[in-house]
Amino acid sequence: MNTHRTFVAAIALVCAIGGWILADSHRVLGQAGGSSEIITLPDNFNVPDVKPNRKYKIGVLFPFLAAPFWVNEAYGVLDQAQKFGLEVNWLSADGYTNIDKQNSQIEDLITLRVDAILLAATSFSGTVPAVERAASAGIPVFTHVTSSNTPVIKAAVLTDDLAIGRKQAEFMGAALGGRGEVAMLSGPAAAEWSMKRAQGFKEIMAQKFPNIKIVAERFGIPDRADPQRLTQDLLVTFPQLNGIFTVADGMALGAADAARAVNRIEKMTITTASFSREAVPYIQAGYIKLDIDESPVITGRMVVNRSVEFLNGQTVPKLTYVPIPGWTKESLKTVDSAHHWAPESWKIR
Amino acid sequence: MLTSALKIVTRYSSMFLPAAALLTVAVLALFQPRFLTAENLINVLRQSAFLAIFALAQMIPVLTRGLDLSQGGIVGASSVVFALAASGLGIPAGGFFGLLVGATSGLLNGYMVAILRVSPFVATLGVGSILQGLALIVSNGQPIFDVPSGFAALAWGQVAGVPLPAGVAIAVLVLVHIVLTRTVPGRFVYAVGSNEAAAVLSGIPTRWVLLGAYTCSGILTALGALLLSARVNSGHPTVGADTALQAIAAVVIGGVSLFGGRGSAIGVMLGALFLGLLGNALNLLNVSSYVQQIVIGGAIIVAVALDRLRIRA
Repeated sequence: MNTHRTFVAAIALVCAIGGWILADSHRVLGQAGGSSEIITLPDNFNVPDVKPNRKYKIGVLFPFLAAPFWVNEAYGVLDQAQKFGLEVNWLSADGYTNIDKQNSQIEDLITLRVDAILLAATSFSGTVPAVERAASAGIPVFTHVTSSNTPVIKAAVLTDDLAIGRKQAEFMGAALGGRGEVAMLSGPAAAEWSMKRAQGFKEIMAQKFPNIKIVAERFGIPDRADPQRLTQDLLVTFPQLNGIFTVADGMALGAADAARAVNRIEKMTITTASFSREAVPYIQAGYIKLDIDESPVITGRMVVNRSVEFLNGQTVPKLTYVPIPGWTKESLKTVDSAHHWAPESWKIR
Repeated sequence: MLTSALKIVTRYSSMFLPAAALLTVAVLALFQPRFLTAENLINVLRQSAFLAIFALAQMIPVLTRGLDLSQGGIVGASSVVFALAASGLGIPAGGFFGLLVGATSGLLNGYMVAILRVSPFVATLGVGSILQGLALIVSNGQPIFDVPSGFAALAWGQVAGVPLPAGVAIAVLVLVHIVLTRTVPGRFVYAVGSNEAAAVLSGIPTRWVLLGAYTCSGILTALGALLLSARVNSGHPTVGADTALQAIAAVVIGGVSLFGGRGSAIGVMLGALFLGLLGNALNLLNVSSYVQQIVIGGAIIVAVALDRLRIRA
């Protein structure tokens, strides 16, 4: 009995403390430091070649590679680096939650005295100390796809995740005629890129489509299986559901599969981003109504260009946003696969 | 012939870890001149320190023939509470509340295992999932980066050239080693792990031992979480999601038996150091991340296999 009393008392104490902390628990993400040097690349942008002054050694870090987007982005980086004759050390953190692993990888690249680090950050804030150490060691850091919240970054080549969410909302709102019920599959919890897309979507929905109700928001890995399961449950819970927002098209594929299984795909508007090869048949069939291309190949090539330009002694823009064209069943006819994806035979080595 | 070979392997299995570590150092020194620089060795110490603390925490329930799969959830929840409390009340107060999360979680684990007799696997998995959910709710799914100045120094600072986290890991090692080898409760931990029924018959208060083991594990995990939060300069609800598996790997490689009752804190520290060294080596040698997973998985399998061979011998 004493054991039970002790245990209950301890739990009660912690609940009291936890409730107090919960009352003060809201924090918001800050924004990256502003810069007047912001460039947004146009759709169908052709990445130029840049001649390096010597054989630079670059370290390239990815948060995750087991997804079509990242394979395409890695192709952009590694192919461009190979074209320029650069020496590359590339590493993956193998998960968006492996922030410390990525920090350790940055430290190891500092040890290797690379000429530049090209970082796709696992975390906007969590990588800051390691990035600043690299900068202190005289190694310029460039970010691609996702950035780090520190002014020492020399140049960033990013996807405007807020704009992706907003674009999806504009399309969804118009497709639903300003009325309906929408569910959100918002990607990995606490991953800044997915949170910004969700944020952008919610902003436009609230501002322009007040009669569209967001009935549910779920988080999960952007693969196919988990979102399929989540969507099955959402379709049962919300029989009037006619729109699904997803942050990446792996999720959209799973959601579409679930909707098809219960014959609700015809009246369902599914929007997404990433524009992988896998999604093309679903777009052609009309299961996915809008897929926003994050231009991973362009992103990869441009960050290599920026690093080489900088190392050559040129001034580089602080922030470059890659194009984010939206693909529908109609516009798909004009897509040029070489521009958007790695060749099917290409393997990461 | 196979039997003879197995006998030789079993006989010298305790030398596997030091031999593997020496081999790694030798190969690296040969192929990567930057490995033996002070800068890199300090990096390895710092990088390994977090895993060492988590592994020492994991070791205690494993010695009792259990395990703690809630470590990832404890890390996330402690990280969030630490950052929130630190931003409002200062770093020491934040640290206190962060450790309190660990202690409470450990107590909950221990209660379920010791009193309710729930399987450690199930109990700690459930608690970990609950904690992860709570961390996401409290943080609203976002990192808490509004932390006081000096926060990051806990992980990035040095004293006499020794990274602070490494100093903390050594202190934890000394504490755990002394408690396990020089105190009565420590000996009880081994006794319960070796044979719980015999321990009960011997008059050992096994319930209190298990309760204490999981509580200590929770507190040490939370300590590691505080340092990890400082390393990423934020409270992060999903940082350290893989902590339990990595810690178990270090524990097993360090010679602690998954069947309880055998192992040392020094071995666990060496196991964590070896994993840190291996990761560093593979990065410096520019081995693909895909191949790294295979190498690390292979090392774990070899360690577990040797453990089984020792038991059979």
